[in-house]
Amino acid sequence: MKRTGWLALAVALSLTIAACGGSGKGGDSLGGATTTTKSGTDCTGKTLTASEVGVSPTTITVTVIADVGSPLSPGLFQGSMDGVKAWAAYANANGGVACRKIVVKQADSKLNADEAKNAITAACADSTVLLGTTALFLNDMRGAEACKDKAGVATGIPDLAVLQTEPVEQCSAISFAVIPNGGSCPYSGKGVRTFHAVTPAIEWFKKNVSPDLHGIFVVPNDLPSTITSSTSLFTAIEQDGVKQDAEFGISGIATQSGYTPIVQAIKSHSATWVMNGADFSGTLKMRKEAAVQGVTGVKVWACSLQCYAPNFIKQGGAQVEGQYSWLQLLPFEDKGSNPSLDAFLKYDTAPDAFGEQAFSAGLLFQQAIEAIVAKSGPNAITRSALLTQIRTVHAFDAGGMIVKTDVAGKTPSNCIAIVQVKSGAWVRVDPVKKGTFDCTEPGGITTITLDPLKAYHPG
Amino acid sequence: MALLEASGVSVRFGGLLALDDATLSVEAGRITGLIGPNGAGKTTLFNVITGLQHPTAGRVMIDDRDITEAKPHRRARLGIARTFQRLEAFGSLSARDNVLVAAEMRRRWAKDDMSPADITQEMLEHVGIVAIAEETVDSLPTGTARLVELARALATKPRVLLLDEPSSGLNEDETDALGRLLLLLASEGLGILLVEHDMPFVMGTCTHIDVLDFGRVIARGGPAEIQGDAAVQAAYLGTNAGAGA
Amino acid sequence: MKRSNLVVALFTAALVALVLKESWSGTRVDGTAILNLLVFALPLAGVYAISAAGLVVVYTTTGIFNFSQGAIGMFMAYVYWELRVHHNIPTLIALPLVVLVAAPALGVGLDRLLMRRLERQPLVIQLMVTVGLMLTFMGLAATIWDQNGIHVMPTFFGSGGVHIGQVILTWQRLTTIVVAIVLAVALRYLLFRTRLGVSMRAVVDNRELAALAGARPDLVSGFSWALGCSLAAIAGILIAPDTGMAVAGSLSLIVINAFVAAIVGRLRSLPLTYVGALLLAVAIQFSQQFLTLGQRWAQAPLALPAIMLFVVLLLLPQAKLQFGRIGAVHRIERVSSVRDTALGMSVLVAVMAGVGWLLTRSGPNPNLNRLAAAMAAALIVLSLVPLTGWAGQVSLAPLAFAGFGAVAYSKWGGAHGSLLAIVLATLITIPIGAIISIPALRLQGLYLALATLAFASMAEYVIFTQPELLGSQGAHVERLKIFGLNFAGDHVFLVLITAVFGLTSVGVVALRRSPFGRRLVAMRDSEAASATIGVSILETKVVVFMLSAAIAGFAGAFLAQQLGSLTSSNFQMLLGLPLVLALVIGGVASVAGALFAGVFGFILIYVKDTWHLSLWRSLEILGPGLTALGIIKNPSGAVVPIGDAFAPLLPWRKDAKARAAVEKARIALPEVGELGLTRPFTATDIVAIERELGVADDLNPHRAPLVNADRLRNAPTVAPSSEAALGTP
Repeated sequence: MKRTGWLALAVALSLTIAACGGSGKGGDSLGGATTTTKSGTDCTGKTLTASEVGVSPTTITVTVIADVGSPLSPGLFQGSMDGVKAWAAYANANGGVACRKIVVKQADSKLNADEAKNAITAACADSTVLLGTTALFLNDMRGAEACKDKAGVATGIPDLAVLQTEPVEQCSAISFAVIPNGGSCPYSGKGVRTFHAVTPAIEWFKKNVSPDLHGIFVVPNDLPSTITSSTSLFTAIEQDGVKQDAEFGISGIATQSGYTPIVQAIKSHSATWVMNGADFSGTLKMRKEAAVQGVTGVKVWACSLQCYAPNFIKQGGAQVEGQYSWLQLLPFEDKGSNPSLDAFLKYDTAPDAFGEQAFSAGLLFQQAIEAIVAKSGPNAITRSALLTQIRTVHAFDAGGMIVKTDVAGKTPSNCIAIVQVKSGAWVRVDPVKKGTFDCTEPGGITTITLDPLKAYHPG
Repeated sequence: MALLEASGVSVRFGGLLALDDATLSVEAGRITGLIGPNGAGKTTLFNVITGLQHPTAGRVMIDDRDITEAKPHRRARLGIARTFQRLEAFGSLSARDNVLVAAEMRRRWAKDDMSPADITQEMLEHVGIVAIAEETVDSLPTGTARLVELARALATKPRVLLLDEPSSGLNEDETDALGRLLLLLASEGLGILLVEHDMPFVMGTCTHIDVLDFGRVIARGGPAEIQGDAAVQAAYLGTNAGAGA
Repeated sequence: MKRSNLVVALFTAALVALVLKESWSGTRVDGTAILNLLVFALPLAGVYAISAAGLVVVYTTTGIFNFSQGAIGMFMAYVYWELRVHHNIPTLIALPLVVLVAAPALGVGLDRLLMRRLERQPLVIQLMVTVGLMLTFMGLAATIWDQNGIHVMPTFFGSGGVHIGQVILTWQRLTTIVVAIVLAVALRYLLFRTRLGVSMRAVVDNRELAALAGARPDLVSGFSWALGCSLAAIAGILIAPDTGMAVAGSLSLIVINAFVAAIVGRLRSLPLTYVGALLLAVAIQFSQQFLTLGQRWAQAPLALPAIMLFVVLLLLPQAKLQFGRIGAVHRIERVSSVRDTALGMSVLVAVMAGVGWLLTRSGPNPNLNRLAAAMAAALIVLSLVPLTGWAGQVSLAPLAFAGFGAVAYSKWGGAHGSLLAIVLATLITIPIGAIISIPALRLQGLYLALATLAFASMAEYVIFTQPELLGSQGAHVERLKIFGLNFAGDHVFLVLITAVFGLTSVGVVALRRSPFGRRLVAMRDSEAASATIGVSILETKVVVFMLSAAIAGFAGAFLAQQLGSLTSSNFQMLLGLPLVLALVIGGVASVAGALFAGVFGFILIYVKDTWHLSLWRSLEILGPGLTALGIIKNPSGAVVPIGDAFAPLLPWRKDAKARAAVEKARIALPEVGELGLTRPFTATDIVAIERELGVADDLNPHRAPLVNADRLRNAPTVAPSSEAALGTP
């Protein structure tokens, strides 16, 4: 059966807001070329063994699972696949990992929970680790958790993910995001949950743009998960002092004229703040409609990571001028300021934010493997050892390419970089210095406890 | 008392009056012919009697019981069966299954416990289509398919049988056999209403004939009377003399 | 019927009142607000109306309800973009090129190549070919124009507009409204004042009469398709700047929304269609402006078009029993015996067990779960075999019913794999089937199909999303545990679900061979004749609909087990359509067709996964659509020729061997060769031709019907006229 789920597809990107949760608590992360050195392992004189599923004397096989082959949006998360491949090429060019070449298997989850599950089944049989997982509908981790290692023990297959949309993946003991979602674990999937939302940008806007922001919040209402991810962030932003004038629900596939009432509300409330939780095309349509209707009073067109997409400016042109976006990774415009970023941009010819995180996931894996090898030698690589090692990583920053993240603690960082569209290009506004993040905001993480579905009151 | 009676039936399709105060009755054990030029309303009257067409005015009674509002399947259960001018056989079923479906339905209301398979076999033999019983009806010539429809109608063991041009598509021998079958059925007490274009066939089988033109009954009587009727001649020859409505 | 209308109207009014009371946002309704509402709604209404007008024109003149209307519009918008933006051709050249040349050419081509051959096919075939066409156009657009690329459609007359109240009505939207009005006037002129239009309307009033009177030349159907495609193109181009040219966006917008407008116009009246378009647009904008639909109703706004479609359908007058028409030709199906089915299914279970064993030899293998998914899909569409295959009633909601079964399973024992949960899942769908079918079954086939589509959409947005059912993050279920057996493993579950499919198939075949099964086929072939032998049409339809719902619910319990984790997105309306499509490709009237439907998808994925050929990506995108177009050549489904070729090889199928010999002999017949035919010219074909010619005879008493093929080949003989007969005695 052919799954066309174009609704799923159309809302897919709006889910990426979940990824904008944050990353590790940490201070300045300048430099930090810890993982970008050549493979420090010396294996001379040792006989390499096939110590784990996916590990052979000469190779380590990793699987990247991402939604790319969806018939209507071929290449949706191709970025994640490219990012992992870029990392593998980079690692292999620098002597490999643990004296072995990295082999990347790509599995297409097609915006389909069942195909994501199938991809895990396949990876369990032939790969050591899941790298850069970007499967929106991955809602069942039982197969991954019960995956048996070479010794026949149900250790589970470690999952170093780019995007975790479902609580089962966020809260799984074997799953770690390079930039964690801020939701508390364990979570049953229903009712009240605590979120650690990344909101330092709000403080910055209040200080640098306008002290009393008020305005409109737009929630993509296609799926419960799209609503959930928006409301938790929006509630935190309101708690930080952005007054809500009105909240709207709109489908990710609504037309531009569907935004007319929203823009009307922006005008009638003289809103100074507008934020849409949908994917960038939603924000794009909203901005275009606002331009058409002659909206001028908005001081902050806010967006988290999802607007930082190559096509946003190309499609929006002058109509998206002034758009803010806050990131927990270095923008590509920082090229030349960070070795990891440069390596990524060198090996990935079509870089995007997913790719950058996937590349970071590769670096995380490499760092953990190298630590294992340093401690117990190149034949000690097992999934179990890998999990043990990852669970000690509390300050990972991919060589400064992303904010310093408590991967093991799954806690977001309060560091960000804010960029803005100026004269048709993304420009850093905070901090201005390339290759750095702003970690100065003490209240940057806002903790809220709510039932995310009940927090939605459009109209 | 007539077994089946339609009285004062009018049917209006938009501006067209297909039936205009038509009255007609069918007696048990008698073959009544219903003739008239094309478009005279014969088939419409059949549809009103069998419940496929709701009349604008008028009543349909069986055994003095008003069934004007009854659904078609209720009427079938009261003993009305029919065939169609344009084939309405169950084309993808075999001839035997066509008849069997009807025989099986009959069990729902019949008081006896004759097996549907036996009734089916009996009717196939009656109508003379045992040889092609296992053929799919869609692959049968029209005339034979009409006989399947007849067998199907008979399998409900009706008291009134309405036949809409049963002889079309049959050759002479087959038509003769059909005539003999109808006479036999009538002699067993079945009331038959026959629409037919084949005049020799009508004249040879019917004891009573109603002539319909422009939705009105313009003449009724025995075959000889009808053939001498000026209005009938006019209607058929197309002069407007007697048809004045 | 009037009373039932009243009930529906009152119910709707009560529902609307309840919604208003519960979710009124407190926004003041004053003149400005209403003016704003109209300014928001009118451009949308214009697009719906233009698209729906295309639907109506095509439907009334050809009887085809075109699911691909929106997709054609989207595709044409891309073509326009290609010319206007990519090749920088001026608007004044590019626009006529698309609207007046490319789109009509496409329409004529579709008519010639596909649509004319659909004329006497069963409804489900007609619908699914247009669904296939829809997938094809979407696939083509996605293949030709990189969906990650930039496609910005310029707006007409720049970015300004007129101020109305507090809102600016852009030139583009004003254009949309004006074009919609101009088209309304032009279409009216065309239909009432031109010769072509009059013959189109003649066809509208009575397709068959017009056909018999010769007023329906090929010209009319060709012109209708050309006009329909032009209207689609206009709608597509006008909406494109608003949708951002997303393949998905423009489509979903025009698909169901245009259906609503067209149905308000009862697929006949253009003015009413326009009213419908306006009503829907106002309702959508109203809900956004004045209602607070949060929490459990958060997705209800998305269901608004479906709800409106459903209500409008319920208000339609009851369909009359149809007879005396040239009915759909149902190809003669071969009904396997219960014994053959049981035998075949045993082989299938053994094969699956063997394949499963082979696959698991080298560790866990995802193809086991894929095969189980294929069998779950097969089991779901098996529910359509009695309903659609035999009774001829089209349901587009098998996945929604399976969804109810799956939810019931997860609620009542699925968490620990209880058998009782499967039983409950089966039972709960029966009353749901009854509630949906009793009002909908009075309607003619197409309307029933649309009602099920609307039902599937409502289930997706307002039922499965209720937090009590699956929870906002989904529900986990376990596979069956019974008599100390645990079917949790992929291999053992595959064998289980295959065996369940086999047993259900045997049951379904046995049903077909029962009196009830015969009655279903009889009803499909002629409702009128069925009624006159005592079959209660409504009762029979309701029973088969409930039976189908029960099978789907039962299948849903197994789908839930196969998936392991359920969310509302598992049961999207738009995921159900390809399932129906796959069944039609396989063969809608046989259990083998259902099996094919399941395995078909598996093969596509397997091939792509095994050999990473770049060719397969486009094949995966285009394959299902193109395959669907192949239905036209073989409406009985793919399994029939496969079976014909394969069955004679089976030692126990002596009958098949004999039949193959007869077929061969038929081709060898001299008259077949004479006619230059390469395939057997069977009695069925002869009768079909005879019937077609015989139609004229029914109107003309002077000519006797043709009886056999001999007379067919000679000049038709004129039988003695009735006048002569009358004069003889």
